[in-house]
Amino acid sequence: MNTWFEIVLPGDDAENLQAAGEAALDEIERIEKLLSRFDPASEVSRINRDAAISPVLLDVELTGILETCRKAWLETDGFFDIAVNREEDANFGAIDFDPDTRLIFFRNVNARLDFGGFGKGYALDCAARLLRECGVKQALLHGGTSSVLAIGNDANEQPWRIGLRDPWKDDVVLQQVDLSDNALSTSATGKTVSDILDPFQRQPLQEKASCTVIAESAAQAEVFSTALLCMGKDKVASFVSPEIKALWTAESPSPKIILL
Amino acid sequence: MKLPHSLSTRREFIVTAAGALATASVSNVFAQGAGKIRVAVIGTGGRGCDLVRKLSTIESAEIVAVSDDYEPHLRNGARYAGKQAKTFSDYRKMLEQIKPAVVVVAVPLWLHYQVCCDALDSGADVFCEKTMTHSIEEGRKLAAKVRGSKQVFQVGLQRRANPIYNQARAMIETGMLGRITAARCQWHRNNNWRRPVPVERTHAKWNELEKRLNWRLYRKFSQGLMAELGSHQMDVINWMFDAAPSRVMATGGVDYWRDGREVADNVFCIYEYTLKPTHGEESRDPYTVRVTYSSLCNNAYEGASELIMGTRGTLFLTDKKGLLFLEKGADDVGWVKKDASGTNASIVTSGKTLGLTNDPWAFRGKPVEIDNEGGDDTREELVSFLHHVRDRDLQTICDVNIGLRNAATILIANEAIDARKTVEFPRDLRS
Repeated sequence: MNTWFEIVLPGDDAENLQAAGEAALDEIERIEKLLSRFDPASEVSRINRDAAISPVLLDVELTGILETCRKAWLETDGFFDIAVNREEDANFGAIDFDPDTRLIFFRNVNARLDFGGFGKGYALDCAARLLRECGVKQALLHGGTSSVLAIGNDANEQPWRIGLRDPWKDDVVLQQVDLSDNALSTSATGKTVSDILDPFQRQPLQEKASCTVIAESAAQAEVFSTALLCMGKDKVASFVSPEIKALWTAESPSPKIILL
Repeated sequence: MKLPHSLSTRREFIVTAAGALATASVSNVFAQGAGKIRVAVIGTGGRGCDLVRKLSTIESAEIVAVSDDYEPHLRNGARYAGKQAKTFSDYRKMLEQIKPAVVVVAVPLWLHYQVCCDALDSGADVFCEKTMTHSIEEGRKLAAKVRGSKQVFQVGLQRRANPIYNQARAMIETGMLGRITAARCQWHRNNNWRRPVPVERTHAKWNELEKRLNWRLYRKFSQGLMAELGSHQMDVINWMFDAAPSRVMATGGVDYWRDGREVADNVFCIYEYTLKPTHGEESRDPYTVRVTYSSLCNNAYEGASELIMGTRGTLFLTDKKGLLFLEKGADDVGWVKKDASGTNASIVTSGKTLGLTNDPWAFRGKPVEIDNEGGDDTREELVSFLHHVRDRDLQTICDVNIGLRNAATILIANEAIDARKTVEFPRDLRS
């Protein structure tokens, strides 16, 4: 994930909140060690190294993550794909994965897993679950400011208020969004070469746009913000619902956010 | 998650996916291996869950049960162990009903002895987290019990499974550092070492829960920083020196985190070892080497590391990277093969390639690196243990004798801190 995580914990018991915050950050670090494709000691690195040669036994958590990602791949018509990469011709369809035996096998030797469009959100969900288990009733967590999760309300018992920035200009807030026991994720292109790939072209996205998704969980928000941005504004309408809200920012004539 | 409206495309994907699975089952790619070792884990707090997760990726193991008497921890253990694992709040019932072949013990330190004894009595092979026991006396009794059995036993000091430390051991043994003259080791961190308590301070159960979750901070349950952190480094020293210390002086206290804890938040020790000269040395007389150990909870500079110093070089060891610095005048040793430019060098030992980096380190020379970036020593120690179980090989990489010597090494430091005097290592455990 290679990004900055922060946690805001309002309350009086500083000693206990500090302990809870440390535990939540440890949990995020644990997820990083599980999912990072840059850390050669991670589980994902082990899979990427070995799964084209023989089936690799996954732990229970990663099995669940892969099930979620396969479901998301199906639900987004292939626009969310953890197996797509720029260099090689492979996608989730090249992966044999059996949740019962917890085994994974790459039928395409070039296949690689990349949880870049999932890990931050998932890490926030895990950290939030841990905080709730620790009795925390109010918190705001973010990863790299693009994924945000709220537990309860803020210190004034108001929903946590998040400013959506102009994706191409720092310090210009285009809209405010209220979060309370839900999460948002923003995916954007256009400032530099995008690290989000169009899974069908295997090229960085070209269009200058930004998509923010508000959903129940941070992983869900991240999956859909990535996928919806890839599929383009016109296709988004069929994916929004009372549970999944999408906000779209286009550049011209001037940056403006529309609710889809 | 929400279903899409474009069902036709979706159906196509489902067909593809189902087809892929059907192919897989025909070609038997996912056939389940028979004869897995039936493993149970007792204690599924933070460390216990680590072990459960690692075990679940090892093909030869099947986690048949998890046990913890604290419900939230048991729930976590069950989540990572998988559906096939039964859950028990009472580990004795689990031993009786499940009869696991292997028991992994990751309960708080003060319970290690009792749980290990019960697991051994049930006939299981045992993997016990470090430190082996809360007292030297318990360690002696447990060691006698294991020695009198034919059961496989290993203590979770995972650096024993780490290629860097195995490489370092070989380098020292072959005299690459010259005469070992000193060592400095530490585990420094910057946090309050507290686990959060899930209820308000005013809650009737706060006190009980706080003690249970923060057992590491209370003397009845814990041996503090020396047991939880220092045991790793002092095991490295005992291993590298192939010796137990002869005595220790130590001091420590609660000086920063004055929050009601009973164990020191900073400790400093000086150990003395009597070593025999390594081969190549003229004198055969034993000599004394001093080792410093420190652990802090308010400054994390250089983290967890060991520095082993000899007349020809210094080894800086961590679990991901090891560095060998040659002393001035030691670069003429025969085992370094220089390339044509005369600036780089590499050697091959024990199947591992070492390369000199080009980074200039002032006053230290160029280090030779030993790299273990892709390694996971916790998983490796479990793999090794399960191999020994399968082969009925009692000589594990960290057997009960090593575990006992390690426990005694760290416990005499705590004794020295309490008594404010030098404490001798128990004579009966020296060899």
